[in-house]
Amino acid sequence: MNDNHESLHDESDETLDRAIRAAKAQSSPADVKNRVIETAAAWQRQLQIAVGDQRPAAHDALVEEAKEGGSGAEALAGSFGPVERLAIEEHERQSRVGVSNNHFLEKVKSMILTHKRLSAAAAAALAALAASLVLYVSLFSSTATAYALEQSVRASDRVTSYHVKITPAAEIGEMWVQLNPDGTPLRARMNSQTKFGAKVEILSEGKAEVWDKDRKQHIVIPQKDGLKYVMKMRSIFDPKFAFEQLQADEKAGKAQVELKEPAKKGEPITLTVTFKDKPNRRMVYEINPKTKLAERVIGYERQGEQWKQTEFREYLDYNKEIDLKVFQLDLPKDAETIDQIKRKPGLVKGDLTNEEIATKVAREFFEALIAEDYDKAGLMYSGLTAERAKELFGKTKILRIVETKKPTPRAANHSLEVPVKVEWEVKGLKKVHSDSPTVRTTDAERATKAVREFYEAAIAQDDVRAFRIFEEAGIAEIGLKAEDVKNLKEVLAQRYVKFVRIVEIGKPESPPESGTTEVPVKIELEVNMPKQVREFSPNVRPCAGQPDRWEICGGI
Amino acid sequence: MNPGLADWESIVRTHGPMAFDTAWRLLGHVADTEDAVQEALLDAFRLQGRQPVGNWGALLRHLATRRAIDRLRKRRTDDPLPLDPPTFEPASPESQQPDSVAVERELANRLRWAVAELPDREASVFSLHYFGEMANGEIAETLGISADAAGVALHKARKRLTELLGLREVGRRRSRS
Repeated sequence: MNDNHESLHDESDETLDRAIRAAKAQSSPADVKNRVIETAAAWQRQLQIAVGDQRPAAHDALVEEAKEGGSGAEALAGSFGPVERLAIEEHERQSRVGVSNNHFLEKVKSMILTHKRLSAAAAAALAALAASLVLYVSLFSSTATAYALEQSVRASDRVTSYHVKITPAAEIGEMWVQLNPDGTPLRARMNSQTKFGAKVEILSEGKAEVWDKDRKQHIVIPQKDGLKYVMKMRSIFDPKFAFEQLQADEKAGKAQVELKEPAKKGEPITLTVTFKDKPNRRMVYEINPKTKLAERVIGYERQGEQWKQTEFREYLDYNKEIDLKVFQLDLPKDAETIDQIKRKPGLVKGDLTNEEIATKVAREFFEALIAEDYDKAGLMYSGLTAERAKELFGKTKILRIVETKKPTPRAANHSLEVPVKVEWEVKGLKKVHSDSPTVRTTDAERATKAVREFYEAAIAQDDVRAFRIFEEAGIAEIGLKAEDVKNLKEVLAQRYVKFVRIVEIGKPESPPESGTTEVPVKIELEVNMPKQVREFSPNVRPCAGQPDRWEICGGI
Repeated sequence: MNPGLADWESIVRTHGPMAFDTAWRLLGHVADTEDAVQEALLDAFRLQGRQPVGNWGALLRHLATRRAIDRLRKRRTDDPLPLDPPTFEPASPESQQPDSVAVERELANRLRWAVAELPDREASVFSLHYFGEMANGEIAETLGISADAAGVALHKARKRLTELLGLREVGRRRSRS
């Protein structure tokens, strides 16, 4: 066993060295490197020139720049890169030592313009930031704005339901919400199509359901967490919440709101909002002048000198009774349901410390696998069904737990990672391996025949015949080199596998002008691996909606 | 000529490229590398004049490494949770296939992911040794630790990375089968 373990270790060690070489082999982008070096090399010279110049301030120019920079210019500082921050720091330092020098700002602007990612507008905004030390430009009529916001908050108080559609569907694409008299969600449905896949989340009848369409997985959890999520989303999409928040932000000076009354009948009232902490973002609320409710909300982002639309929310309905079917899932027959309400996952924490419960859950998971108790293993692992747990974990035989180490926090998923070393082996595992060997011929029939005969020889462990076919037909790209094929039996034994049968030979394809033919083939393999020790790191954390219980959420 | 001015330019031109390469090897991403190196150079610029620096080359690589590791970790945290089902599948013949550029790139990326998992000291020592091409003694001096401690950290880092890469190897084989 030691020999096996040592040989595995050597192999992994080689993999690490290979990975290091691979990372070092990617040559760095010379143009970017030169730019970064040249820009940094010039910092000191530029700063010294700027600070040393004592000419009078170009006050009028700065006023113009302040206007050009637009409202909230000061807040742009939050998005400044290193060069910009450097300039600001230097300016502050000079201010402290009494070098009151507005012309310095001109120099700063000039300096910043040499920096690759700063547009002229942003540079002007930086100048405006400094100029804002002495200038105050009131752009908006605060009284009218406050009144408009108050009206919308009051109108939103009477909302009992809403249906909103968001484009693009960054987090949620469509949302239906039915509210309780106190304004909290009674039922909600959120449809999303994101890079993580298509999902439907429903909050109804005291439970939260998540339907992951891509994984065909349906998870049911207690309402508490689902409600929390809806409340979080509500802060973004709920019109009442949005207006209340806007009102508070405006009062606190966190947001600037510009009101535009409709020029003619039928046009909406518009509120243009810019936020101090997100200066490159702007939201425009289009409000129905009669109902005072938001009809559309459009998000913009500053890209260079222009504002580009990034989000469009449209409130399709207010106060319309929502069909209960909207809050019911129509699941396909092959959907996998993990009902964490009926079948409570993980273990109760009780008086144990976090580290103790995490270790206990991890240990019980592996002990269940040793006992081939897949029902319990599944419970420890997010409440998977016994069938699913067997499918996932039943391919190998876990023999014993060698050791568990002290858990460490894993920020990525708010869990504790428990290092567990286990001894395991694999006996008679059947798996289907897909391959696409290339044969040096454009004759599809001949290529297929060669591939079939090669694998038949390999299955019969007839090394001589297999090698002859391999050489004569010019087979390549099968993951085996010529010397491997020459000693096929020995090579496969070293890799703990043997070819069992040809499952399927697909349609051959001959890429144009290649002179070769690819033959897709599926081969059944049998894997037998001796005992070995490997470390796993199950991630253990409190269950959603049931924080007194802890479960494995990943890491295996 | 102002000596400080000449010094800074000379420092950046002499040692900046290696600091950039160090960060690049760690990140393998143009914009991230650019940002990390800029931040590191800014850190160094602030240090300049405040305290004497014996080895600018080592310091710049150290600062670039720190900034790059921070970015690696942020990238990892921003990644979605691992949603793939767990697997216990063993090695199979396809893992012995001839190397390809894609495979090597994937391997390098997995190493970067794994480095982000290491504790601070181990991540720094490993990165400075392999990507910054610094000897253990030089690393020890830069980090203010003993040469033995640097050696131990390097050993631990290798061990942990070996384990992490081994685990990931399984996932890769699975996805390719």
